[in-house]
Amino acid sequence: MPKNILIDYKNVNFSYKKIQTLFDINITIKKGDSIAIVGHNGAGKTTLIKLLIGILQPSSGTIHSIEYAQTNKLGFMPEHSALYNHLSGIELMHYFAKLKSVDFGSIDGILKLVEIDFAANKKILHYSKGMKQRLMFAQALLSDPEILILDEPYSGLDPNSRRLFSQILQKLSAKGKSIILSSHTLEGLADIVDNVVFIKKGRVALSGEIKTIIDDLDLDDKIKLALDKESSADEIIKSVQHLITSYTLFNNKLTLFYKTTNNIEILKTITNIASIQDIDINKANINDAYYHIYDKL
Amino acid sequence: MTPNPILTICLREIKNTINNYYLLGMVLLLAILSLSLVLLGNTSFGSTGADNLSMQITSLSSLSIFFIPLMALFLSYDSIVGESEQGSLLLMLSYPIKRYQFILGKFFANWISLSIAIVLGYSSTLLLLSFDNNLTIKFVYASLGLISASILLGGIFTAIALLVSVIVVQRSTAIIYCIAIWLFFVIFFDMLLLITLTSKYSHIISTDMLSNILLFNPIDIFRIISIGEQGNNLLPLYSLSNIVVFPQFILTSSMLIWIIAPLTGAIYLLKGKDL
Repeated sequence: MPKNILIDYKNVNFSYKKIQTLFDINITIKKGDSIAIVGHNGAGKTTLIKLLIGILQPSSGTIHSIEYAQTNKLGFMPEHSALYNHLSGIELMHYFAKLKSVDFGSIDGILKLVEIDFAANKKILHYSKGMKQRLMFAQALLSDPEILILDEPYSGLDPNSRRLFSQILQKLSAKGKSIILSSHTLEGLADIVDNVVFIKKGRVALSGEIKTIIDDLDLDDKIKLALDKESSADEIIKSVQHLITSYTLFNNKLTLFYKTTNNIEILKTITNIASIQDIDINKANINDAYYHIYDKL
Repeated sequence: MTPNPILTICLREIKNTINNYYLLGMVLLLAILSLSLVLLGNTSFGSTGADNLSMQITSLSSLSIFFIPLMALFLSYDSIVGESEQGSLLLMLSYPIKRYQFILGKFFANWISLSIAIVLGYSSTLLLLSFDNNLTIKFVYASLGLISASILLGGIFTAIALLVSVIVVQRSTAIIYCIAIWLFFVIFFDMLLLITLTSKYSHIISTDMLSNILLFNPIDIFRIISIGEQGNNLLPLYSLSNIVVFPQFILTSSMLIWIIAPLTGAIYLLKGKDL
């Protein structure tokens, strides 16, 4: 196995009690990769995560990986986890640090990083859901792991915590840590991860670098226009008809879909139209790729 | 030095039992019940012909038979299934911990907590009884026998509860299983045995066979160990122990096997558990 490869799954299948839940999974994760496993609820994301953390073993297929499962090289944050409510945040971190044989010295810094240091001596019983999520994130960072696996890390998070998690993950990714996270929402993922694995009904529907996927799918960019009156939509559509692939009109809001190469031309054409009150330009993103794939498969 | 995961988990769980007031509750329950039983027992000797000590130890043994399995089962029934339901089992097993270490950490924590409750709970009563019995060798031996056998009994039902906790997928199912197990061993097993022995089919069970059958119920082994000679002239049920010819080490070994077997089963089944 090449040195830069951390995990290499070839034709991996998983069955439990004769029910197959994962089919023919092929994934390669290189050192420093950041990957999102995306799919609907029940698609098989969590089962794949359990395989990746070494809790489950595949029924068939080949796995080549560095030895990271159940070692300090792995940091894992589960989707749901009740914590010892009678402990304070710092006591819980001490407990986890002992189990990982990690020096207590690093704990304060980690709690500060996830911005839960102010409640370190408070009992977990009195933590909000967001605070508990931060503490779970903190325990995953103990031992400065090479591979960070997060199962639905954004589930139930408030926008501030979401932004904080993203910032930390971006920093860790920049440091060369490998990040694997699962999510059923795609919002903001492109800022954190470079690669995506779409899972549908236990199969990898599509995987690869986000930018490449979007380019390969040849998805349309879009401009959303807010008009002062619906009648002016006809004028706009007429003027850009040769540049767009499609459009939608609803409640004085016109959306034009077009190929990226026509971007400037369209803008030049529509900026002179007086009835436009607001313009919102959206490049094709991971969200569009997701829906495009799910619609087709 | 790297801390042992079994010790780390065990200490954490014991602290949890203390913080949740489970330990205090168990100590108080055993102390109050044992004191009440002994004080009330002193007034009702009747004409059984039993001496004071026999009656007192037998009363305390009955208390152990009913309450210690119950306390052990309730302390441990959700040790694994509870963590599994809450999602923390997945997290714990992603740590550098072997599954057997996790089970053993839980087992020792609950067994130690229960043992502390037994020692503290019975101490007050035995102290009171020591005045009545003038602290004779016989009394000390009987008291130590009762406490150590009760601790072993607690260990057995802690191990059984852990096995149940690994097998089931819901906490509520674990409670039902544990109650059924308690009813079977504490009530139905001896009841069925007595019915058979007093029926027309009693000849199919020889004395030797009966002795061996009793080893299949940890409650009966406990009864034989703790009551021993005190039971000879007491209630008819206890007189079952008269026919047993096993030496003490066989009985103690049987109790240890009753701890090891379900514990091994729990460790084995946790390996294949769907998490």
